[in-house]
Amino acid sequence: MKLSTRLKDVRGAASLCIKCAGCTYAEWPETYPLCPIYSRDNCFTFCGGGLLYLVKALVDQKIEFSQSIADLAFACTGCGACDARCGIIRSHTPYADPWDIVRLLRHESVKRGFIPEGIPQQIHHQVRTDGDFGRENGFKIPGKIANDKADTVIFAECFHTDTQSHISKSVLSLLEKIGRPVSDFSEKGCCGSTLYDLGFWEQLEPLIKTNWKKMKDVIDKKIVFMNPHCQEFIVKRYPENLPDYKSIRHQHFSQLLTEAFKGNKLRSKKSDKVKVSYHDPCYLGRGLRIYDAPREVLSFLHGVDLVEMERNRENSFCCGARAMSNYFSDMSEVTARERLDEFRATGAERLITACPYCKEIFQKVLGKEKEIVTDLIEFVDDRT
Amino acid sequence: MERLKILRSADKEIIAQKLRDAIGPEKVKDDDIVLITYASDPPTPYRKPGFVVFPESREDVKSVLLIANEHRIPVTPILRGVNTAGYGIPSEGGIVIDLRRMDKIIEINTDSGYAVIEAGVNFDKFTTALLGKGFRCSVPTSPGGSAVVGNYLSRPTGSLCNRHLDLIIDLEVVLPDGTIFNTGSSQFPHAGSHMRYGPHPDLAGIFTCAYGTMGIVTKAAVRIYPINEANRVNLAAFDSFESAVDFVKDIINNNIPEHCIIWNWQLYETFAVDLSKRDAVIPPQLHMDPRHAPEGKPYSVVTTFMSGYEEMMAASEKMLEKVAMKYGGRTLSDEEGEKLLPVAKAGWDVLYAKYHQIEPTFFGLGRYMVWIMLTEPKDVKKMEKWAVEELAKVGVTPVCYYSQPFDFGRSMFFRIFCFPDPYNQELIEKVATTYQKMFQTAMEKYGAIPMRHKTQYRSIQLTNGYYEALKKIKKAFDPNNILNPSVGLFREDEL
Repeated sequence: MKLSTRLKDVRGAASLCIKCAGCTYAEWPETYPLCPIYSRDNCFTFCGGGLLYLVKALVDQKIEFSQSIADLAFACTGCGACDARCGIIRSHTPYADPWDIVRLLRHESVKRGFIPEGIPQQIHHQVRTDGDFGRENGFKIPGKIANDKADTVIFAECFHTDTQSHISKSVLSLLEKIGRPVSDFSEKGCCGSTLYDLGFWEQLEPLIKTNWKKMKDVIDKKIVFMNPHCQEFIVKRYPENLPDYKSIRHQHFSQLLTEAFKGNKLRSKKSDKVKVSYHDPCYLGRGLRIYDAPREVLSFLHGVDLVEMERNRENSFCCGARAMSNYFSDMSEVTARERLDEFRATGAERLITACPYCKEIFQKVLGKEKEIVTDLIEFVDDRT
Repeated sequence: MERLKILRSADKEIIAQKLRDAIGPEKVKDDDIVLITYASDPPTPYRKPGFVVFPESREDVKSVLLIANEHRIPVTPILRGVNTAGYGIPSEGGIVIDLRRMDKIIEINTDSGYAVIEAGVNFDKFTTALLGKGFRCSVPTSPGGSAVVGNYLSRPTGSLCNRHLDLIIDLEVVLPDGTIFNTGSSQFPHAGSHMRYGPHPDLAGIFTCAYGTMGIVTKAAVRIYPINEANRVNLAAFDSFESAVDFVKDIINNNIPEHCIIWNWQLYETFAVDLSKRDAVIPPQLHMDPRHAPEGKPYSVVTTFMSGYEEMMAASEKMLEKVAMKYGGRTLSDEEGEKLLPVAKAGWDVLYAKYHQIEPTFFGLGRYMVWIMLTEPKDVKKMEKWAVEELAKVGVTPVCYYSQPFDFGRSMFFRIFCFPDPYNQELIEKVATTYQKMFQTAMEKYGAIPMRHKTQYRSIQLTNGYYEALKKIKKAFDPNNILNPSVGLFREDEL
């Protein structure tokens, strides 16, 4: 969505909803529940369609912005199931997907000073102070494979979480094993994905312009991402908002691993039997439609038996990591728990994911059992 | 009759507490965010309810109705909320009873051929459950998220409405005074729901097309049908709508189809929408003049749905070929169909052969404005030309239409619809005015009758002794007129 979009611009799109709630569950005949907030409270208000009706009412001045509205908008996990399932096509311009309209609702709430307490306020404070949100990550390509002229660039701009730092160590270890020359793009700042999702758009526009300028030296190369949120944001949102955007070649690290296995650059070394289940991260799956590569990677690992959860691929259920718990208590944890229950039902011993946020929330909820969750990259590093 | 009350805030608090005490606090919502999302159904105006409640049993429904009746609070029942016609618009300050949490499939009776389901079951859930049992149901052209009971109660169009117009067998109903009863054979203590009509008057009819004004239906037994050895979706092409109608009547009279639909050329080309392309837009055909099919494209295509033994299908297909020729048309082979209208063909195969809604079909284009009438076959031929002409004068696009037989072709359903730009209020109003004029003319000139109640047409819909008789029943069932007054079927000052 263009950052210049205003709530009134999407009134038409919002008014197309026919309240079928098809945005909340998987395609027939599976029909599994997919929308975390609707699963939490089975009321039309709490789904993509309901939030569209709320937006329409705000534009029509039938309700005023409030902290509760902001809290509800931030309760959405942003899993994108509604975007994937909504049958309303781009019949009237400007069209917008439901999740984008929720982001816009967050933005309009933030503009009016309604920012949920906790993490959103902390991040907002930081971006207002620093104009950016990120931290030094210390990512450094080992000397023997570092090559500024290499065709492949590892995108490691900022690490918001400790889990991401751990994943990055495995990335470096694997790159060394593969022996592939790479360079890196690792400024300390944020690519903008988090600011976009949280509605901090005032600060986002200058940030992505600056970032794109910095990326100019790498955009002719293949950019490999370890965080699907960064990848999804850059390939989908930069084109919408940067007039000088040039299409980039991009890959998720799981796709690089697949190539490495196929080219015999990486080999499975351990062979102890382990039953695993793979959780499709929303931004990697529904966002980028990368479902096969992680599964293919697992198939190259000896002794690893992949058991699917009932809801998988397009029908994957969110981990809940990005939901705020100001409207519904423990929204994030309750969602993660539901997904973990589904994982346990498979009988698998390890839960593999491919997104630092998923890993973080699962580990938080699991507490002492947290070791059963691991990122795909770390798992592969351990077994090669 | 005492007037319905508009609640003061103090009263509202008392009612809120009573509702919470009666059915549990988690089933009662009265915060503005929830209320406003239940307040509108574009383009109808906002009417913000005072409460939205989510019963999980018929006892919950009874409790809510008793409170509403005692305090004269209007009640609007909605099953899943899917609506484009304004039947689910609450009364200002009233109670919305949202039945979506009552979505249990209680019984699938494959011996007799019925299923007992709660009112909140949607088609996606129901058709999935039936497939597992080797059964199917009449599938309407509404989204899979719509409620089966709500749809069937409105006596809809559907994939079997030629042979099976009445899809309801038995209803469980709650009245405002707390009376709970069954309308069909299950009213007898040892009987299941196998029979709608018994030794006494058919009460189910009173709740059909009543839009929740007579009682709240909490459960229903609906007809289901076995999936036969073979099925066919036969396509026949005609250069005129009249020939297509003659063909349909002929094959029905000879007992060939379970159902038929006559599609205008724009709709058969675009019936199913390919959403895998995220840059999809309204197909350009829908912006063209519906009166003139492009060179080489038949004006109308008839889909004929048949099922039975394989040998019967082969013989019937031969007959269809012969009858189509008799009316100047021709049947299309599967290959021709796939070449001429690939997406629609795939869509019909889903609707007819997989017994499920097509996702997405034309409602994937968003909210539409629709004009629907029923008339006899000889009249529908004339009405089609006239209706298309009238809408063309407005200049609205996209536009498309279809027609189908009800009850073995005794009555023909005709539906034309357009998707005006949601930002163009002037055009929306122009279409509404045109529809209103067309409505009146169709009744006078083509012997047509409305399919659904429309508040704006009620003066010509509710006439003579019929309305007087209906009011007497209404007074008996709902003496305080609390049930869905917003739909406008009954006016307080007339009761």
